[in-house]
Amino acid sequence: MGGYLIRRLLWLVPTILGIVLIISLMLEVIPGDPVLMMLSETASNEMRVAVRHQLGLDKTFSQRFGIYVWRLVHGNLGRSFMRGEKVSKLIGKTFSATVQLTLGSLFLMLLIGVPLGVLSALYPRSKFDFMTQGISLVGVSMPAFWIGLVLIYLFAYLAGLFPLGGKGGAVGLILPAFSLSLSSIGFIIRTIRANMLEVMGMEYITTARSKGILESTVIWKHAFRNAILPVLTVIGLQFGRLLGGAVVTEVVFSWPGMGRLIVNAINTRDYPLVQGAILVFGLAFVCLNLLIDVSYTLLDPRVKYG
Amino acid sequence: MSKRMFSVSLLILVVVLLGQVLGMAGGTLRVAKTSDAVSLDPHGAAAGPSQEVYLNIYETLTWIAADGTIEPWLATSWERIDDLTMRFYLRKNVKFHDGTDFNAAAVKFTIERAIDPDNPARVAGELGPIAGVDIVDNYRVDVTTSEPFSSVPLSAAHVISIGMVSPSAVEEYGDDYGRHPVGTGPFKFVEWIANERIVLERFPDYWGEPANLDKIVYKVIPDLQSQHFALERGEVDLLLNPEPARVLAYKSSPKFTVYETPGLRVMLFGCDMAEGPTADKAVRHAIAHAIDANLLCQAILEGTAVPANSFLASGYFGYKDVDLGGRYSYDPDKSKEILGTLGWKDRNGDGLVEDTAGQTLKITVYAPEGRYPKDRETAITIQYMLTKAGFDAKVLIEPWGTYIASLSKPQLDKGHEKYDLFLIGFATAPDATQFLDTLYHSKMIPQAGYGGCNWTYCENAQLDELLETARASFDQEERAELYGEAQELMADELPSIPYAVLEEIVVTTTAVKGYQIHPLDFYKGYFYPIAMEE
Amino acid sequence: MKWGKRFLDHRGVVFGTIVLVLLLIAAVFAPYLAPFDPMEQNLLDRRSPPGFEHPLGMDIYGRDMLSRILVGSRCSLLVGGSSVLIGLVVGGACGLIAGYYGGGLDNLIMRFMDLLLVLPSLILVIVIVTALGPNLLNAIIGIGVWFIPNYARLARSSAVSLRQKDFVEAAKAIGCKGFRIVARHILPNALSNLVVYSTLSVGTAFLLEAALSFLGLGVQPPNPSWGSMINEGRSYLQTAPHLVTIPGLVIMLAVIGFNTLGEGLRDIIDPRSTLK
Repeated sequence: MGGYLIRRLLWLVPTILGIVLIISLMLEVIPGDPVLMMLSETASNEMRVAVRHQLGLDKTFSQRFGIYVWRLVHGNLGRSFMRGEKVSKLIGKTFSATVQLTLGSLFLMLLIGVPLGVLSALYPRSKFDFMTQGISLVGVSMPAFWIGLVLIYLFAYLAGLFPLGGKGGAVGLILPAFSLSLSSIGFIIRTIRANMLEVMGMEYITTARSKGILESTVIWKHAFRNAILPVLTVIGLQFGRLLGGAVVTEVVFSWPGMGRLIVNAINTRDYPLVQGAILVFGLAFVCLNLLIDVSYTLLDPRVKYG
Repeated sequence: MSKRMFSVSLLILVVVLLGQVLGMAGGTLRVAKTSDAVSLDPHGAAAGPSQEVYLNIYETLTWIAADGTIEPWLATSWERIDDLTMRFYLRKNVKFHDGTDFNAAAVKFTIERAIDPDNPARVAGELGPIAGVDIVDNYRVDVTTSEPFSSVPLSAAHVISIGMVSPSAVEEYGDDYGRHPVGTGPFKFVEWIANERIVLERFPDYWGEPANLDKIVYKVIPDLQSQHFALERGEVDLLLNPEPARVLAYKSSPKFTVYETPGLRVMLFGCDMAEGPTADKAVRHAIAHAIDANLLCQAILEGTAVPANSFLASGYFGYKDVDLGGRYSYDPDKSKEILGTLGWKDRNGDGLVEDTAGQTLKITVYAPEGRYPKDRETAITIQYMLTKAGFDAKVLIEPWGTYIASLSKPQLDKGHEKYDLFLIGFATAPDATQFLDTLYHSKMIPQAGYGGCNWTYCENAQLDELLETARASFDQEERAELYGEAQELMADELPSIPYAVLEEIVVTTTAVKGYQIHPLDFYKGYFYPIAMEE
Repeated sequence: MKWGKRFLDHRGVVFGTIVLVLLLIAAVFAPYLAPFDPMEQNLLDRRSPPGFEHPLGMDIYGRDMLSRILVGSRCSLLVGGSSVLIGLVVGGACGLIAGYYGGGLDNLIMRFMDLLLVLPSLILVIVIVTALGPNLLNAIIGIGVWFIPNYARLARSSAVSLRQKDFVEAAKAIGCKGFRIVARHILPNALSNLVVYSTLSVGTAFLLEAALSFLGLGVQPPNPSWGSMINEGRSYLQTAPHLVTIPGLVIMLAVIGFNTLGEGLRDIIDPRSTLK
């Protein structure tokens, strides 16, 4: 186990370098000039040369890449072109906002999705089951940004219940988290339902029943515990999807998170910010996956990673 | 005391007295900002989001009144010493927010910092040929130019690049000065939480009457729709950039006050005069007849702009009404007629004109997105209007960063899809020199290694001469006449097709009193005269 | 029980197929079905709500929404279909090869796939499309690239489980070379899984395309796309909600259709996988 962990951690280094290289290459290809963006239309040529030099954009790609990696090793992500602030600071603030949003959605997903999934597995083919299936189908099929807009209109504007965007504490989190979570809720309902039904059809369950064990124990101790395992992977997957889906949700709700930061940074050709943000995103993902795989081994002794 | 200072002080006095009577005093003004400021150092800020904030923190030597006259501000008077030198007499007993004195040294420091060739201020290009500052004594400075330049006092009002900064503060904070601005203005900086808010508070030792407001809070609300909701629900008091679509609704609502005035930004379609179908003057005329500027102002810009009748707006010195709307009235049939004389006819009934070989007349409309009001929508509509007149028109929209990069590259070097019409909204200091010279003088054609702003590649010797003579002259009447001639010339040449002049519009709740709208967009965010009604 | 189950499946597949057929008809025959020219602007009537003459209302330029929705289906289908195809062909091939041969090749291919999966879907696609330039083709490429690693994984696991099977051993025994085995034996058996996944993926591709167009990175104006229609109508949510609700509903229905179709197919092919 230890060896596996170490190997996975070692893979982190080339992965990060790979990400940085790919992103840097892509930024090279993207048309557009950050210097021209920053200066007014009437700036003189001397000014442009000066600013270009200031930002280090007059060096070759390999020089710039080398400098970037060197700084990276020292924990320096550089400064944003547009804002002049340290990239690490900018990311730090927005990252926590995105994580808040994602965790909020995850929480709602578990709060709403798990009970609905379990109940529909316990009463299959009932009206309740059909309704839940319908809801989950719709949830998975909706464009997240669209439902966000609809929710804003209905609840924030018409009902005046929620703030209209920007970060507003716990209450301000509800609408965006909810709109983001809808597709995950749908997904988890089906996964839990399918897993539980599969498990409940298995032999050891009928054995347990024939032994006279209480039905509730059968459900909770056996069916649920075993069905929950694959759900962990699902949660991990969903966390990833939520992080990504956060982009449009943040745009719609003006949530000051990393998704919106990246979109703005790309639009304004703010290279260091784009590189830093994507790097952090990638790193978070990779660590997350590692965490999931490790917890999987811990929870299910049958699975061994050699 | 200058006329302006007197009237503002009187206004404030009246407002304050009224305030005591009606229960107004102080109060906090909450303003919605579309994007966070980049830097509160005039040096590092290139655009509105930062400028609208530090307008209340910084001041500069002169102020431009709404009717275009130049008034004293931190300078009490000025005089021309010779062709290259203008002397300014500075106001005494002015203090910076950090307690240091405002004096000639501060002026020299600020201006030379802005024009430093190694590290120029982002918008210093608009200052003109200012070369340096010489200190005569503690309260007299000489501003020198590299060539005869009649608009030095005008440039001295350019607070967005040379808002007077405290030299000691800049030295103390160094690179971080952008987050700790220190000026002489009526408000001083309190805090800045990135992407959330910026807070200013009244500066009690202001050299004039202290401001009414206790505090100004700028809230960052990027989505225009959310800004509207915030205004409606009383979370903010003032919108600097209301959505055009809602302006009519705001005007008819008793809860809000709408301030508007024609501004300085001229929206135009530049024509590629070097290559392609638009290099032909007749084609440009045909295009002009195909564009319905009235409809654009009414339906796309929702009444927040007026059709342009010249290449400048009325707020510029040197403006002459050359009746572009009448000369090139909306008439698609006339367009087709002109094209017909050039050999372009609709030979196959598909609505588009073709030449004898069957080729359609391809025109590409190039526009940025999110930079000017309704830029994207205007381009899409123009494409449709051109199609109706027979052109095989296509629209290409790119984010501002890519767009401005493509425009600035010299034609041969572009490596980019060819475009024939490009959308620009241009505004400069309210003097024809800067506007016309920058856009239309042949010297400003982008060349390898030197990016100018003459993106139409307009090369007209007669026009060049008119502009040069006017620029060097110190006789205002002569200049006005020369610029009038230039505009008449351009009305026939049509290097670009202006379609609208944007209005400056600000919306507030009725609790906000005393706000004054100004044609210059960078004075829009000036909140000194405001008081809040309780 | 059994009849009920089959009825449900049947209904899902039927519904999904109907949606698919309707979309295809709309896309192919759009120019004939559309009552108005989707580009024709009537600015003075802009944002009109649904009415008799314009059943779905008019957009912000005064263009007929119904016509634009119909023509917009072309964009969605084109992007949805092509990107899935890219993922299927490229990703599927890589996955099958990796799964069958195993070893170093497997490692190399899958590590590369992992690299692609490092970023959240939308961000990866946004970066690709921005780098290549926002237009229809690059949107297809961008979304297709994101599908590649997912297909690779799927194909690989199929190949891994299949390569142990008897018929593969038999093929080897009679001297079939690796490539033949992959193409003629592994592929057909993995195909059913891939087909099901593809149908479900089209729905995801629709949503990704809509998100891209919403951000302004998809098909370029004035060509209609459901996602960009939502973006255009966004500022008028309060005053003209039909601009946003209608395209959104259309997207949702299309995705529901593809999802039910895919799941129905999955039930028919492998009833064990989702017990009903």
